[in-house]
Amino acid sequence: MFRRRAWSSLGLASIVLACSSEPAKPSDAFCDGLTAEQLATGPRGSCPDDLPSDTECTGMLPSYQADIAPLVSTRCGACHAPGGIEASFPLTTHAELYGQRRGVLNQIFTCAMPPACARGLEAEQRATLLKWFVCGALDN
Amino acid sequence: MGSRASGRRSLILRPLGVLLAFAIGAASLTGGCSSDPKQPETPTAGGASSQACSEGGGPVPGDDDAHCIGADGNPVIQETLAEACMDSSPAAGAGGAAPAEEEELTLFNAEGDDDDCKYHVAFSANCVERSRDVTLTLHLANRSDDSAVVGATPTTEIYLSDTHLAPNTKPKTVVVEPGVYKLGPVRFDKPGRWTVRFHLFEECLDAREDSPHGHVAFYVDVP
Repeated sequence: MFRRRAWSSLGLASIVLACSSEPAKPSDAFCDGLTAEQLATGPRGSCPDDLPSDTECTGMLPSYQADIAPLVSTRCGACHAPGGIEASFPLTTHAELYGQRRGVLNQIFTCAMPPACARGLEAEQRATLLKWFVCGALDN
Repeated sequence: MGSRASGRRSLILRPLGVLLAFAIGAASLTGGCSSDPKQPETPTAGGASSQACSEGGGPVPGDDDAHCIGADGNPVIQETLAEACMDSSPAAGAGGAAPAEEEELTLFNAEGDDDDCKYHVAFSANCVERSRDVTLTLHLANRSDDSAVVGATPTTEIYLSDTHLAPNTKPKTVVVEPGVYKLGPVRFDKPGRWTVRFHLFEECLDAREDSPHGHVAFYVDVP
């Protein structure tokens, strides 16, 4: 009986493994230091393909000082700052963010960050960040 | 008597159950994840697409990768430790210091070593064309002992420039065999020289030099 269950489990496990196709989700250990407000409250929806084109970089652009710095501090600062689990990858200044701009843009665009255990970005926050990165990640 | 008959039956049924379990697993590998009607093409043995494909797309020929060969001609090898995965203290690393700001390296050809000389990486792609689903096959070996890299959960970062990323096709990663992974579909939406950067053990921190976390990038031309 046990053996039959084991084989059935193997079949089931192979399905699960074969379908573990989402981008790698950081372990829950990434969220150890987060407050209740920063933690995910449920599963997220699908990740949109909503990268703006650089032809949209006209008119009023997101401002690093007014929009991006507070957002990154609130949503990324618990880990990506001195004392955080990702302190070796800090995002506390414009220079740090600019130096990692493509990687951070990719992580946000593919919904790899914030990690699944943390609260996801709201649509407006996501749009602001994506546009700022695509439009040159200016120190404005 | 009854128990012997049932024992015989189970002798027949058990292997059938095993076969069924494997068949379900194998089927799931090939088609079980299909949620997108626009599936990537199935690559043939040589990595070439079974469909017609214009020439000029794919890995870019160039100098062989030699960044993991020391000045003395000996190989530079960074061993990895599983326990370094979630250790955020750089001082605990083999080198005893935080890793320096990494210079990103992009390789020619379809084979080379990751940025930190932990892994040897080779990849192939089926037909690389603009706006076509492409499947990438990745072969990973530990440079320390040539063994297959298992559990790497590779992901991709694909870009034409710092501000132009490949469309979000939500690529899936499938383990073909130990050390061999298929990733796809990925799509290139403009012609040009793209960079395909593979992230390995992305769930691990990159604080310690001996963390399994790694990355390697290759140029890919898209006609």
